[in-house]
Amino acid sequence: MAMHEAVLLRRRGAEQRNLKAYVASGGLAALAKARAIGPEETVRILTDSGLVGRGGAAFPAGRKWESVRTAKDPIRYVVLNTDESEPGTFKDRVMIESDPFMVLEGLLIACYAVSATGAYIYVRGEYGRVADLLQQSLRELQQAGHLEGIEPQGRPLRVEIRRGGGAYICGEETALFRSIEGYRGEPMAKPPFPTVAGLFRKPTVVNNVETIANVPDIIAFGAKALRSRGTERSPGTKLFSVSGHVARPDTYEVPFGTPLSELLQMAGGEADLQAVLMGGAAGTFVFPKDFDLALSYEGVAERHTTLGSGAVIAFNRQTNLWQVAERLGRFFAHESCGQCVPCRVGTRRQHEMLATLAAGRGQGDERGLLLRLSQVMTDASICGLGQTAATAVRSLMDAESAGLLAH
Amino acid sequence: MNRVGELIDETGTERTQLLEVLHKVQAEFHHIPRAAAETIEQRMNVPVADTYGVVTFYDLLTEHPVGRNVLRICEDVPCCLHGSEELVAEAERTLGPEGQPGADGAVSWTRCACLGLCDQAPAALYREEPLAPLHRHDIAGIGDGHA
Ligand SMILES: Cc1cc2nc3c(=O)[nH]c(=O)nc-3n(C[C@H](O)[C@H](O)[C@H](O)COP(=O)(O)O)c2cc1C
Ligand code: SF4
Ligand code: FES
Repeated sequence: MAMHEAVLLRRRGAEQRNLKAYVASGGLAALAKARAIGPEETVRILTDSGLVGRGGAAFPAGRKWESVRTAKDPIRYVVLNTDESEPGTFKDRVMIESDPFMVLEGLLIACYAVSATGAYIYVRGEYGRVADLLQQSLRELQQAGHLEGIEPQGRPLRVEIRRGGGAYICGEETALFRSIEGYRGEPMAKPPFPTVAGLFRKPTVVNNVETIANVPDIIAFGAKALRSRGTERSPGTKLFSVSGHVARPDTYEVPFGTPLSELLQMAGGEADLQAVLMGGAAGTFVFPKDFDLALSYEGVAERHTTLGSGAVIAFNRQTNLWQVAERLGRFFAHESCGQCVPCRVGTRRQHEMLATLAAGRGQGDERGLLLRLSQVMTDASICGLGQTAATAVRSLMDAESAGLLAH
Repeated sequence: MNRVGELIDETGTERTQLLEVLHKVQAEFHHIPRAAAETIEQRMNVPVADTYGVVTFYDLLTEHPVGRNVLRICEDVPCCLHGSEELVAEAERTLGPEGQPGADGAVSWTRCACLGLCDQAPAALYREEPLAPLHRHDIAGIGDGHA
């Protein structure tokens, strides 16, 4: 089994986690370089690196930044999405706990590159420790004067940490904006996209924690730094949250293109796994015949699955996957914001049918109904929650037809 | 409610501070009392109905009193694979019905969605701090006032 060098997580477990130690190990060089080369060149390096968003949608980060950088409105925001609520996902927490300053340096570079007038860090309400750590690290940066010279009008940059209220949907970018604004976190139809009308209807860059954590190295060492790892179409490394029936559940950093089987081996996956759920509740089940798949955007597309949030949940052969699906169904029924009928009603009906199947009391027509429901939810929902609420269930039905289930 | 007025003063009266104010009210009063919503209406210009629309949307805010100490037990897939159902049953047995504090108002418990602690499953939060992995005897300890 190959050992992979930690890049994003290289300071994990470091004895000292303060600004001095961060600077001593090369930290803040990227911010200094960005300021020396200017916003346009900074965004160009990011675009050239091929970095894509790690929050699930894999959107090119440079394109997003460039739209906001060149926006007409002088008021712009950068939002760090620290809502991390996809079941099975904990890599953003581990990223921040391991290296809060690298994440904050990335955020400051983003603010500088798009001439942001303010920044927000939206931390899920259950991550109190993460919010405290960010607050404390931010204070150190501020006291050392590092929030100066970023804001275009010459004021010290204002970075506000906001706590979420305990709602998965607030990780969706437009719902997140509503939540910061003081409303229910109900997603809005897109377009307009956040880069045009985001937080407070102003041009906004919203990025995932892991996306932003990649920024300092790219700026400090150039676009090639990211491209020296991973594959042509998926440059860099990726954090995976591995949980379930593995001996060492944890966050693992591997280069894109690493086989899923290798990741499972690193985590001590039981020898006789029945399946894994890739990408969290909104993901798909993958069975051993596909464990050789390459963990890259092109590799998962080839096998009709997804990297999603980087969650990998492993199941042994004793697990009844219909019971797992019931849990996923319950999650979506609880977390639907309720504004689209197909999603609000659909997730509830779906959960009821999954509960029936999990209890082994199916009447025989549930699978057909689930399939029709999944079509309606996918086609008629405003946001990704409703659009993906049936994805895992559909993949489970396919696997059942192919005779892959142990139960 | 004077205290709520103070919390608003230290946080801000703009609409964007609503969630932050509600978090602070919840932490002190263990729910959002009607009188607090009325103070918010006067001071922040957010109608009472609107405030409760927000309160009922977010799991960490409650319309009705919960315990001074809340135990949140995760019931999503990774935790479920590590026995969260038995823990929920144990909580029901020793701490009473979900969401309802005992007569002394000390403790209540609730199920919750993934806490991002799946590497330490089965996970819980107690007084908003991770308690993971959660063991059956932790729950009994909370019931006896030892945890
Ligand atoms: C239901 C739903 C939940 C989401 N939750 C998160 C989340 O917790 N964290 C996150 O970074 N992105 C989440 N996203 C994706 C965001 O909408 C957005 O695409 C992302 O923050 C952009 O950052 P990136 O380009 O760096 O990936 C979610 C999307 C949907 C539809
Ligand atoms: S799809 Fe579901 S979660 Fe998304 S906006 Fe519609 S009701 Fe809300
Ligand atoms: S599933 Fe329980 S903490 Fe993630």
